[in-house]
Amino acid sequence: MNKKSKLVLAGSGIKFASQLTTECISAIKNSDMVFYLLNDPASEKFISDLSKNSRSLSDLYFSCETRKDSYKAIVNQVINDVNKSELVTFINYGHPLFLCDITLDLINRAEEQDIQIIKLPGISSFDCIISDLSINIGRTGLQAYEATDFILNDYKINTNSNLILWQVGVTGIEQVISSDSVLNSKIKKEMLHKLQLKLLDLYSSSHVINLYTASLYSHVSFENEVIPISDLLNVNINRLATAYIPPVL
Amino acid sequence: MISYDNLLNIAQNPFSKENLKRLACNHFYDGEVKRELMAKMLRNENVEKFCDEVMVIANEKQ
Repeated sequence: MNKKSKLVLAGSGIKFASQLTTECISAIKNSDMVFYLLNDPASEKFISDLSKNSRSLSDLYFSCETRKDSYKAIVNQVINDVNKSELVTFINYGHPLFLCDITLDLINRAEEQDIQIIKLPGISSFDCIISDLSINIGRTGLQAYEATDFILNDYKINTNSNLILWQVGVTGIEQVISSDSVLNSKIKKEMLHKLQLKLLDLYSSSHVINLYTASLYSHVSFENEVIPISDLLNVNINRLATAYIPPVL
Repeated sequence: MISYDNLLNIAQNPFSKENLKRLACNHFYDGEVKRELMAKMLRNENVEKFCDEVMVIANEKQ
């Protein structure tokens, strides 16, 4: 199959400018266009400086009310540009295929058209939490769910194994997160209450939950707040937080 | 772009002698400061101003 246009899906890693892989940097430097959707202005400047042509997708992201609509607008923009270029890179925070609906949509759209997809793994919060909290998944295994998905579905949980819940800081939020009011919405509080009840069905109220956020800068530590499950509703959970519940010993 | 350049220097050379001193103090951010930083990251923050915040807080806490 002779596929003309190439779309590289890459991740910036979590830590500013430190966790970009060599192949990712090469893609950024050599692409006709680099689209990026990143978490902070320093990372945006770094990618922009590395590339020949680049465009932030933040404006498109914040132009819609729901994240679902933002993703659709972004996918349309990227696919439209890929069709006019030889090599385009889309780069997002962390790993391109780890909890990123946009890249999955881009893959589906690329399959419908004559576009070759190249996926470059990046460092995700998964890599960081395993390292920072020294989680030994070789011993008791690992269960991992997106937090809202975990709340809404009845997965069978083994409490003798590690449990990780991604995106616990934005549980239940479907809107674009543009302010603290969205971040602290009623739906999030309701979902966290449901999460607490679900965990209390599985664990004792004194069993600990780690609220972890990876380090974003080399000179800044990761954050890990360790609380009993009974205190889950009494803390302010970082929007980038991951919940880790260790096995029952 | 002094603050941005400083931040980039630390990111790309975290184990230089100078930057190791900063790494040695890498637990100086408390949760509240980090949350303030997160709020600033939400959107539309001027890059140099943003980097200033990161660096100034770091220097104050050392």
